[in-house]
Amino acid sequence: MCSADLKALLKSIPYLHHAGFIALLATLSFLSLSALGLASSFYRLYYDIASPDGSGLVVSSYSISPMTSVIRRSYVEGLVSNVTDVDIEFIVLAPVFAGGKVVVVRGLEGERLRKLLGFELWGEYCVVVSRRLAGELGVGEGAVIPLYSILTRKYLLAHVCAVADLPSIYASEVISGVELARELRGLAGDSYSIAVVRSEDSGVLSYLASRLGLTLEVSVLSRALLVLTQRGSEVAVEMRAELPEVYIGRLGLHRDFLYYLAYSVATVAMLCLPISGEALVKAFRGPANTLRFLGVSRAKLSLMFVVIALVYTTLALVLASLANMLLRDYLALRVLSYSIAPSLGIREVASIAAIQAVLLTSGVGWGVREHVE
Amino acid sequence: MLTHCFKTLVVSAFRKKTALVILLAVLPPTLITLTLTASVTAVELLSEDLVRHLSGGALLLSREPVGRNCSRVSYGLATLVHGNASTTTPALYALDTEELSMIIGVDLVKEAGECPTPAVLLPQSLSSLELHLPTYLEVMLGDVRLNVCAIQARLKAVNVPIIIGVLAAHTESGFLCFTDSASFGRQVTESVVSDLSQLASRYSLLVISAYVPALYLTTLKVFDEVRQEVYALGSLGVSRRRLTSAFTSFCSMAVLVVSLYSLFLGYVVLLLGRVILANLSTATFPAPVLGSHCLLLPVALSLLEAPLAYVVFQRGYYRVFS
Repeated sequence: MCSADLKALLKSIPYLHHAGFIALLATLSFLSLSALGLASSFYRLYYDIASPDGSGLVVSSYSISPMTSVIRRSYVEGLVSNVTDVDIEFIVLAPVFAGGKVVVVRGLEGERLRKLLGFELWGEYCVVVSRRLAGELGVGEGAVIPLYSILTRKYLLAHVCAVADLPSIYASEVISGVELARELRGLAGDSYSIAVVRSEDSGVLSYLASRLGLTLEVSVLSRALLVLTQRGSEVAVEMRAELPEVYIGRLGLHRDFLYYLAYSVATVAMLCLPISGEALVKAFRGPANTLRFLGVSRAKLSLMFVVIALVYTTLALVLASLANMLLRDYLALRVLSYSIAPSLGIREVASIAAIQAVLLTSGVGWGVREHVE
Repeated sequence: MLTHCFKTLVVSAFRKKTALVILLAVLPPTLITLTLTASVTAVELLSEDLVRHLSGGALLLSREPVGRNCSRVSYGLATLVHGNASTTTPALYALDTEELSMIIGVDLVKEAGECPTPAVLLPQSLSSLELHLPTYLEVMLGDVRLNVCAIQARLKAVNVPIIIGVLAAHTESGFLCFTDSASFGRQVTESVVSDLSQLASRYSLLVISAYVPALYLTTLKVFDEVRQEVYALGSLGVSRRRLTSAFTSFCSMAVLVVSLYSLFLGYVVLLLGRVILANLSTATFPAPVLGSHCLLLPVALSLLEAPLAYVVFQRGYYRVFS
């Protein structure tokens, strides 16, 4: 009986009105989802910079970003001495000013560099850039590009040896040998920005952690951060499960602040939903009052409106998620040369669905009180 | 008569608390736009504060001149050959030796010493070539091969070879400028902030356009609230044209007032947020600045409301009197 009433109610207004309501909800969900997606992508940026392939125990000093961290090779090698089956990647990251924008130079060592590029770099001043970045910097293969180090305030002329198709985050960086990056970063011979310790055998990482007096689960270890802090002549070791939190924390911001802000923007973006809920009931006012006349209770009618609101919310979220995927580049935030597009997880979509459902239902309640006799 | 209609609508809407409904549609775009503008300004102020502490000078090679102390130079690749060994390195070509000497603070002609031009001044001995300087090197500049005298020179901030007395094809030209670090820092800041403000304006535009349907629904609601007054005024003989003007100007005015209120409310919220953040974390943010451009938003929303109110009234008038 209820489903027949609901069907009658739904059919009582033109399809265009249904589409209008769904489009309005979808637009608002899109705004909220993109705000949340941008915040979570921004938070993940340090993960991607430190370990682009998404695995490994990152070793860094206590600094505000991987670009400003300094670690010594001898100390990191000392940490893993007597541990076999372990691979250490030493990385130097240097922020430079080139072609009117700030770009990060990633200096990699021999084997790792060959594996990434598929060829060997020739010459000390040789760098490789992706096609996208080459277009943005206005350089081509064989060009000489001035790189101005922001940290040492010196410039270097580098030679663009190749313009290549580079994967993931490497496409936003200038790839070079470790010596050139070190010169731009102003580091001495034994120093690097960060190191990534990887092992096929997960037991190796937990053994390493236990040797340092740290206890963490294996699943956490593969994405964790080992922070080295110099205290006098001693180096203290600290393990953190949330890599970006260490860096953002040094800026004086707690991770939760970033999320509170994003959720506030997402909620504010949907503040007009009570009006939409009220307008929804108003659109169905005539048929709803007819159903009331035929004996359908107010509670039953309210339930029907809530069901309609939830169906609208679901459809709107599907459309908004699709729009978010299609308009990723348009909404991308540029931080240095990195392009941060909104990324959505189940948690973000579920939160927006919950906020939207609550606000819309409150509007439906308001509408039923005002328009249904 | 128009003023009377307008006053009637204002009093009626005020009694029925219509401002709250308008607030729900106007507050979100105002608050989001204000937050985004304020965060861009905060980043700008924070960066300027950092830049202010930069001191000393810096050499900058760019395509456009930066400041007044600039010398036009060419730069490109040069291959230095000595015996069987060779090395390819980026190099600077002095177009005006005297001017370049002044910019880098090194007398290049004096540094060239016993070497006649063309000469190559090396910042440090190129270890891969095992040179005993001064000596003659073969320099390949594109397709041209030259026999050039090479000498080691103290080039201070320049760490690439400088070739004087010869110009190479296939080079790029730019300006080597001596600039203070602060003005360079400002350039860096501008590039970072422009990316952020681009996204902020793009997102604000999206929010405002997304709120047009919400504003329409709100205007429908406002019309519903004042329909009895419209009926009464119409029955008393007020023409449809006058009623339309009164309703449109009333809605525009109401949106303007409410969005101005939202703007100041948002500003207070931002100030409060800053105080809370200062107490709960170590981060210090500069106070948000309300520029005159912030007032553009209420004006834009008010102008946007006028056609919406017109459409709503034209559609609603028929129903009121049918």
